[in-house]
Amino acid sequence: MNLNSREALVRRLRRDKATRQRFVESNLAKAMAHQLRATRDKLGWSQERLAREVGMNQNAISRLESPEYGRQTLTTLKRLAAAMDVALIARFVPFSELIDWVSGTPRKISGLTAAALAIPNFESEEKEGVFAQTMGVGAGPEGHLAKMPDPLRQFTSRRLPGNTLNPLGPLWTGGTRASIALQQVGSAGQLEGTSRDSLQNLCWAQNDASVFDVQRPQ
Amino acid sequence: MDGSIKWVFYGYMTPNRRSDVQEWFDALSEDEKDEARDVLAYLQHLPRHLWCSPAFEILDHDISEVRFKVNVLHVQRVYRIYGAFWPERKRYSFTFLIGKNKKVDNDRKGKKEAIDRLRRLRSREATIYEFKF
Repeated sequence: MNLNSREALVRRLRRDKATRQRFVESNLAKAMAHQLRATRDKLGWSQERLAREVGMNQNAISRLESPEYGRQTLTTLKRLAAAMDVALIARFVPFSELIDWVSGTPRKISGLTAAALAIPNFESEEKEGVFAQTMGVGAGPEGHLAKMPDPLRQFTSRRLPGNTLNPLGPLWTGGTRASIALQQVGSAGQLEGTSRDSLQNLCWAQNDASVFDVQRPQ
Repeated sequence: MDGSIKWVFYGYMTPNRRSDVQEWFDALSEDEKDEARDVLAYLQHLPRHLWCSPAFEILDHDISEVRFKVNVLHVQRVYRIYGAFWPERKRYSFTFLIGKNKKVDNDRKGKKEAIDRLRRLRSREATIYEFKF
């Protein structure tokens, strides 16, 4: 079961601009509220204690912790961050980054670069083929296999028992295959005799063919 | 907080193999399903004590409800999925028992049905399956 697979999220965001806007609003509201509650809980603070630290009343904290509220101001968020002694990042990001975050897909953050300042919008990313890779559009399993490094291609082109096509193949997206592979394997933990742990090692060693070969199932 | 928390959601299957909570979910509009998924996507990674109102409420007789709201033609509609922390032997598992479009404040009929379904699960008259989102 995957509530928010990359594939499902891309399909959803492709519907229209209004859907994308709702997705941003929904996730912003829920993420802020749940982060606030969970971080306060981690500190062992009550709502009253946080309210005291921020200089608000408890009702305001309760409202801010509601995932349905969604009207936190940047000023309030900065005050909350300061009170809890955590950092706050408020920045525009491309949809691909939000998709990775929501789906729990590891992503390489380039940091403060020119590209991070001028954000590609959904249409630009679509034109660049960022989402096509996820969906397998225009490529198909063989196309994806062709883009993989040799060792992984050999692995993913093999078939599972019962002639089930290896789930890693069609879903491979450059740079994120570790997570996607693990999502596919999930807690079942077995992929052609490979344990979840060894698959994890195998995937994280994506740029190291020798490590890959050690982990490869025989 | 345990960084590895990931709840698994199951659906109730009637003794005659019907999965009507799944049918209810599948029949929702895309916007309704999106909101349900968004609500559950966050609950999925939270420990049980942080499942709180308004998205979640503990009810009587070991049942609880997940709630979500969607604006349909400028009217806010409320949906509720009655469920239970089941199977109890699995630490992070929650079973949806019945889905309802909330029309009344105190849905006695829906709650009664959910309690009855949990009883059937406990007595092994009914089963569960992994819910499909």
